[in-house]
Amino acid sequence: MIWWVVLLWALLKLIVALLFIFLTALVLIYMLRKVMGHMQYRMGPRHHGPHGIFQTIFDAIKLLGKEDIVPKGVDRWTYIWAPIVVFIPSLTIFAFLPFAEKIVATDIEISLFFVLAIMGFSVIALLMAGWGSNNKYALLGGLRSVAQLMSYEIPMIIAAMGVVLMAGSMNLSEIARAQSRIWYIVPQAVGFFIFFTASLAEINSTPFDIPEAESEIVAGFNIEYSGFRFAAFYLAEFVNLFIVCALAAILFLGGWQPFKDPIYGTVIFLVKTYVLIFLAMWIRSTFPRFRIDQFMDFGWKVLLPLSLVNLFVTSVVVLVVDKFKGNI
Amino acid sequence: MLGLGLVKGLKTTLRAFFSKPVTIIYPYKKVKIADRGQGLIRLRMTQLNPPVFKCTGCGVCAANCPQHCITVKKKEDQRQPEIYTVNYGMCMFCRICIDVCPFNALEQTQEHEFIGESRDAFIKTKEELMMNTVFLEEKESTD
Repeated sequence: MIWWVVLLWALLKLIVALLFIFLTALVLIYMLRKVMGHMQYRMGPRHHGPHGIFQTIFDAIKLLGKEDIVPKGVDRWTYIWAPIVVFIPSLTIFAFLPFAEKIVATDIEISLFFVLAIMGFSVIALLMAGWGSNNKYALLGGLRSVAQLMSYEIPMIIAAMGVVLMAGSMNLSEIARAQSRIWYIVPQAVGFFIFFTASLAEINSTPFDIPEAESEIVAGFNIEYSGFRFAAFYLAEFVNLFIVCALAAILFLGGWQPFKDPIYGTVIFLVKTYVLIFLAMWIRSTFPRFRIDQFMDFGWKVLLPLSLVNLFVTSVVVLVVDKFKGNI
Repeated sequence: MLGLGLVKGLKTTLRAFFSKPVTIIYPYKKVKIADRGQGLIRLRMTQLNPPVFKCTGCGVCAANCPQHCITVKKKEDQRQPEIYTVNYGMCMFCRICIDVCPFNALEQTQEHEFIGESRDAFIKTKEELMMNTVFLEEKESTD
């Protein structure tokens, strides 16, 4: 193929991905406001369009139209680059998510490893924002988010390893394909619990929103940001919510199973993802925030041992089953 | 049991999710005002045309108003107020003016939605005050 066709094709894919990401973020923000509203006996947005569906679009336009303020005394480059860096991992991960059989931008053998590795990258952006803002609350928020990611990434990955052991592959498509008979949420129920909890912590969703605890450190790392830079953080938060829920759907709920068809597969995959997102929002609107010491306790003293035990039991069972089948 | 409280909390929010919101969409739907809901005051009349007020312009209401928002003026030989204004920018709707009136000339209405473009717009004259027509529902006295 001629090089410019390749380039154009890649650009087209990027544009489609970006459109999908922005649309997802807008839908999720609307969904959060509606779900949270109804869970608090309210209504949520309802004025713009039927049931207020255009509210988030107007909100986004409003944010984009705002003045770009760079406060005095900030570390200029870190401050300016943080909102851009926060978007890179979210955008990259979409390349590796299989939406259905063969509907995946890049199908590599270690896609799960890659996704989990990139996910940890987003914390650099939060730390950059916290450091660059030259604000004590922002710095505290940034440091807290690093501590949170450090303590919750480990149980999350170990929980995902249980699935990898059972599927025998790190390819997300392979993992989804391996669940044609039984979804891994049944044998890996503990793993699902650990994975989902840790991913909620990873994306700073309530009850784990310690980095942006409003009552303690105002807004955390994004306190000095406004306008479209703030919008970037806000959008990235929701895109990350979509990503972890999609990942959980692939690892534990069988991805596009039971449909082989690309369209039905994509639809069922999105349905599963949105069910998990609803679950996350449900949790978000129910529980109060952890204190930071409780939160660390929960991560290191409950989730980590539990995930190790889960991994050990899974390995033994997989080994025994393989022995019986005569694979070893 | 460990974690049962969490499930209970989730159940509560889910029940809230599927039940009717308590929100009343204000400009389109209005809450019924309670019987003792306090709005603008109204000057009672004995005759409509030409207007004859029950008010004698004695000024007791103005003297007792804690916010000093009532102004009453009358001519020496008359038993009608010449000027009767209430500054609703200052009024706190305590209804003391109604209670102290010796001639029972003031009345409570439930008109509470009023807007103005300037501070002067909130100073209501006696012509405006006699036109406030949102009444209390007539109730049989229990005495």
